[in-house]
Amino acid sequence: MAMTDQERGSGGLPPDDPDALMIQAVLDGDPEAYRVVVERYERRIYYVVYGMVRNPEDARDIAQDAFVKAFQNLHRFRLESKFYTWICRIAMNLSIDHLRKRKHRNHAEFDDMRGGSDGAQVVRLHSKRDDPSENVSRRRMFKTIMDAVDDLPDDQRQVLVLRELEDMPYKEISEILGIPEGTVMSRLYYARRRLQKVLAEHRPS
Amino acid sequence: MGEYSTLELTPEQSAKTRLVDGIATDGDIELLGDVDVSAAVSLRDDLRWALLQSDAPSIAAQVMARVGAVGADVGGVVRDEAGLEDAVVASVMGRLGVDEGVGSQLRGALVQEAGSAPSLWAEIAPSVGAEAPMSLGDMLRGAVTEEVGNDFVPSPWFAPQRNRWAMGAAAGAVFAAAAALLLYVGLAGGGDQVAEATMGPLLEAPVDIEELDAGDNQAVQVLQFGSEAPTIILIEDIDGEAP
Repeated sequence: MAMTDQERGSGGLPPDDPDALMIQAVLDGDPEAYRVVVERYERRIYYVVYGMVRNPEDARDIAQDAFVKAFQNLHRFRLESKFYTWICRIAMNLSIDHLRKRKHRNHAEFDDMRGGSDGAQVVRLHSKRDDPSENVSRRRMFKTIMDAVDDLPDDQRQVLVLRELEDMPYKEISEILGIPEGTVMSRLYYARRRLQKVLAEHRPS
Repeated sequence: MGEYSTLELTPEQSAKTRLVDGIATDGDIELLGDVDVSAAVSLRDDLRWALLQSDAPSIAAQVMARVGAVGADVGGVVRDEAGLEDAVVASVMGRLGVDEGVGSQLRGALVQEAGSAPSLWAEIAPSVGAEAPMSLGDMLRGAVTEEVGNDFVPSPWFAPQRNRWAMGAAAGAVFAAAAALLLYVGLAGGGDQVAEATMGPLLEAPVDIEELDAGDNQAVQVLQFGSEAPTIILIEDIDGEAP
């Protein structure tokens, strides 16, 4: 199980990086060390995924899949890189895959319903969300915001979630998504503008 | 997603984006003047609040179970690796003169109560000089064969003779694993009797079992399998019996 630095393409352990130490331990044959890494990031990854897919069960499953996939490909991880950036990229890719499949499903449902339906059935497609808040006004606010996030293009939503939820620097977002920093800023700008417009329309006068 | 949008921002838009994110440069501030970004900042707060409404579940246990690092079903491993099917168990137990029901009880207790347990083998193997890749099933088969001696004629479920190079170590490892398993499981309601009744005849090697006085709330047994094997201490908490 143990690998050489050359095999894993690493220039050695970066100093003072607790993630790298744990991952090195896993690569050296102690898989239990991976638990430390999972526990360190599970909440953050869950929220990032939840921000993308907006369903708690799906978010939990995708977050799990991301950590499992990372474990299975740990030998490819470059120890001088940040593990969180790497796992975040995996989680984002899985989220996008999931959204694509869901869109296909929803289109199929939509087409099925259109065959002999009235408008009410179509509306249900967009209203089956979990609303955890019991406060009516906050619940309305929550729903408005999240529906607006839902309506964003996937690429803008990715950037928005990573920036607003994770407070992640543009550079790190660009590394995770594999896009230039300028594009990160651009997507962020237009996502915010779009959200502001939607929320302004829903704001009580 | 392979392509990215190429909408370029004006210098003002870029500056405003950085200002909202709290990383505006002096040049940005000079360019924007008294522009009000409070709405955008407020939006950030609302958005963060909305995104954090869902409670994050802990997924570490599921992840670790899926990657096979922990959560090994010890009872299942022993059963599967050793091929402990019902008929085989009955055959073995009958041959050893152990009541089938007792064997079933122990097996049931292992399967039911062990459930998900920390993986013991990886830690135990190096300490006894065994090689980790050797499966627990192979170790169990080898250890039982070794410990019961020549009087025992292996049933077909005992696979063809395995490496005997480390049988002593194997025995130690398996008994240590068994002891650790029993300690972990904390066999309840007569489980210690089941363990003693089942393990004693199974070994047939010199075994010293000594009960220690540990008060009313605990039962302690010390097991010694010959001079080479590790000492095993079984501790059972007796709950609910004290007035």
